[in-house]
Amino acid sequence: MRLRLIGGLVVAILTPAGPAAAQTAPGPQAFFNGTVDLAYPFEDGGAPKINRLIRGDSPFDNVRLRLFADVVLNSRWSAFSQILIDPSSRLGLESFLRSYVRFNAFKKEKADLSFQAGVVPTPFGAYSPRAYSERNPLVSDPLMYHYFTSLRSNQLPASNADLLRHRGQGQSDDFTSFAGPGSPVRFNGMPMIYDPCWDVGVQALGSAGRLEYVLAVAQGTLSNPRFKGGDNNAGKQLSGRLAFVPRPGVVLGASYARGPYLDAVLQSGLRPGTDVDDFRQEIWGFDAEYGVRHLVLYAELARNRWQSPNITDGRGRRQDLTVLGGYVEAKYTLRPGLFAALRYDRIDFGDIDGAGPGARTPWDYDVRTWEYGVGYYLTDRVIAKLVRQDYRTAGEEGSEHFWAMQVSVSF
Amino acid sequence: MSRPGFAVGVLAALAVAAPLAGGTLSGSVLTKPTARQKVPPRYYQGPYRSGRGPSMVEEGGPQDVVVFVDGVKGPYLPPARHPQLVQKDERFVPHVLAVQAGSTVDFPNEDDFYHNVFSVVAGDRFDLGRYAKGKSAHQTLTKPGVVVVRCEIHSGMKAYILVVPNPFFAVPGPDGAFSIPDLPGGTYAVKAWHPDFGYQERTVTVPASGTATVGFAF
Repeated sequence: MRLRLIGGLVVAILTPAGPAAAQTAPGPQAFFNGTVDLAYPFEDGGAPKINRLIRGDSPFDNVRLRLFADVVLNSRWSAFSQILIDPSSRLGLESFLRSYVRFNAFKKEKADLSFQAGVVPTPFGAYSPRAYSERNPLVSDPLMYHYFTSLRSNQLPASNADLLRHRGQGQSDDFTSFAGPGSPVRFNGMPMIYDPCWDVGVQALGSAGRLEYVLAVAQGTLSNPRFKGGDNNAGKQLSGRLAFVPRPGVVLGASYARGPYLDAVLQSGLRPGTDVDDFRQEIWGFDAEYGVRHLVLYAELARNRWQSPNITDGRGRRQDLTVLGGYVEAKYTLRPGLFAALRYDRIDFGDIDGAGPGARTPWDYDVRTWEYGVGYYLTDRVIAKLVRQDYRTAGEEGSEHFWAMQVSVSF
Repeated sequence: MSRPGFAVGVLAALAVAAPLAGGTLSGSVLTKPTARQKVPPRYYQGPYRSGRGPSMVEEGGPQDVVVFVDGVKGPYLPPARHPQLVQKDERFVPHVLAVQAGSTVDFPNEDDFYHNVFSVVAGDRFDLGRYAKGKSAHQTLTKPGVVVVRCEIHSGMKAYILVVPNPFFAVPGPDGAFSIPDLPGGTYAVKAWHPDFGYQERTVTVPASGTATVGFAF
C-alpha cells in the first residue's frame, strides 16, 4: 500500500499540471541569459559607503555581470539559478550563487499553490523582484533592504553605552568592535532585510481569489541570511506575506518575519539559562503599488526590532532595538523609452536609554536619501540611466550627493 | 428585392466569381522547433500581476514565419480593418504579426491584470502605458521592418510585428502552407522572415495568371 502511495505521488509529481500541459513544450527547456551593468559614479573613490554591500560590492561598481540559467522540466517543475560576478567584491563566486527549485502543486481558476526550495527569494515585502538593474528604474537599493546598522550577529555590545559608541559603524572596515562577548571577526552590521543575499529555505506560495501569499521557513533571518547554507544557530525563521489586489494595478501587502538572529558563537557569553535562540529579529512590513497609464508608484514601510541581551532600560529591564524604515518611489514614462524616477528613502532608529538619567538616544544614526534620475531605452535590451543620490546621516553635518551613470545590457 | 438592392447583389456576385487579375504565389515553410518565450518568470507574481494561465514554454512553428513579396509596384493603401495583437494569458497573440506599412494595430488586453505595450525600435518608438482588461490601445506603424513589442510589467512577454511594404504577404498555417493571391505577374524577391533565424530570400517568377511555388526551411 505504501509503495503504491509513493508510486502515485511520483506519477503525480512528474505529470504536467492540468490544462497547462497542452500548451507547453514536450521536453525540458533550458534558458541562459544575463545582464551586464556598467556604472560610473562621478565621485572620487566611487559611490559612497552608504551603498556598499556585504561582500564589498555595490550597485555602483563599474562592472557587474549577472548570469541566469533556468530549466523548465515541465509545467510542474522548474529550476532557477543565477550568479553575480563583480570584480570589486572581496568574496568568492559561491557567495553570489542563488539557486532554487519550484514545484507547482496545482493551478486552478481561483487558486494556485507552488513550493520553492533552495536559496530562495526574499519572502518579505515587494522589492525583491524589482532589484535587478533592468527592473529598477534607479541604481541603488532601498535602505531597508541593505543599509548596515551598527548591530552585529557575532558580537554583542556590552551595554547601551557600548552600542552608542559604535553608531555609524555599520561597514566592517569602520567597526572598532564591541566590548561584549563574541567573535573577533569584524563583519558588517546587520541590515533590516538583506535582499542582495537570499536565504536557504522552503516556501509555499500562491493565491486564492484576490489574495496572494507566501509562507517561508529559512535557516537564517532577514537581517542575517545563511546564503552559503549551514546555520548560525538552532532556530529557524518563519516569515510570510499576504497581499490583496482590490483591482488591477493596485496591490496592498503585509509581511511578517520572526527568527533568532544571533550566531551560536555568542552562547558562551550569555548568562546561564539563556540561549542565543531566545533573541530574535521580528519585523512587520507593509507595501503598496499603484500603476496607471505611464505612472507607477511603490511604497514600503517596515518596523523591525532586535532583542539584544545587554541592552536595558533605566530599571535594568531588557530593551529592544527598534528601527523604522521605508521608501516611496515613482516612475513616470515621459516619452516612449524615456522615463524619470524618484525615490525618497529613510531609516530611523529607536531610542534607548543613554548616558545620563532620562536621556534617550537613537541607537544608530538616522539616514535619509533621495535618489532621482532619468533612464532611456537605447534598445529593448539596453537601458542607460543617469541618477543623482543625495544622502544625509545624523552622524554627519550637512548632506552629501553624487551623480552616477549606469548602462544595463540584457542578453 | 428593390432595384438598387438587386444591382448591389449582382455586383457582389460578380466580384466573388471573377477574382482580381494576377497570379498566386504558394508554397510551404519548414521550421525547427523553437521555444517562443525566452525568459521564464523567475518570480511568482500572483494572479493579478502574472495570472494563473499556462506556464512558461511554448513551441514555435511555421506560424512564426512571415512570407512577403518585395518590390511590387504600388501604391497600396493600408487596410481599413485594424490588425490585432491580443494580450492574453501573459502572452502576445499571435507571437508574430505581419502588417502592411501604414496599418493601425490594436492591442486589446484580455487578461485580468494590467499590461503595457511598448517598443523601442528606432523610428517606431511607442509606449501605450498600462491598461486593464477590456481596454485597448493602438499604434500606427509606418516604417517597414521589425518592431519588437514588449510589456513593461511582464518581462517574458515579447512579440514581433513585421511591417511590410505592400499587401502581398502571408503567415503560414500550422502545416506550413501559405498562399499569396492576386499578385501582378513578374519576377520578384520573395522573402521569408523568422524572429530567431532572420531573412531568407528567393527569386520567383509569378505568372500573370496561374500559380508559382516556393519553399523555405528554417
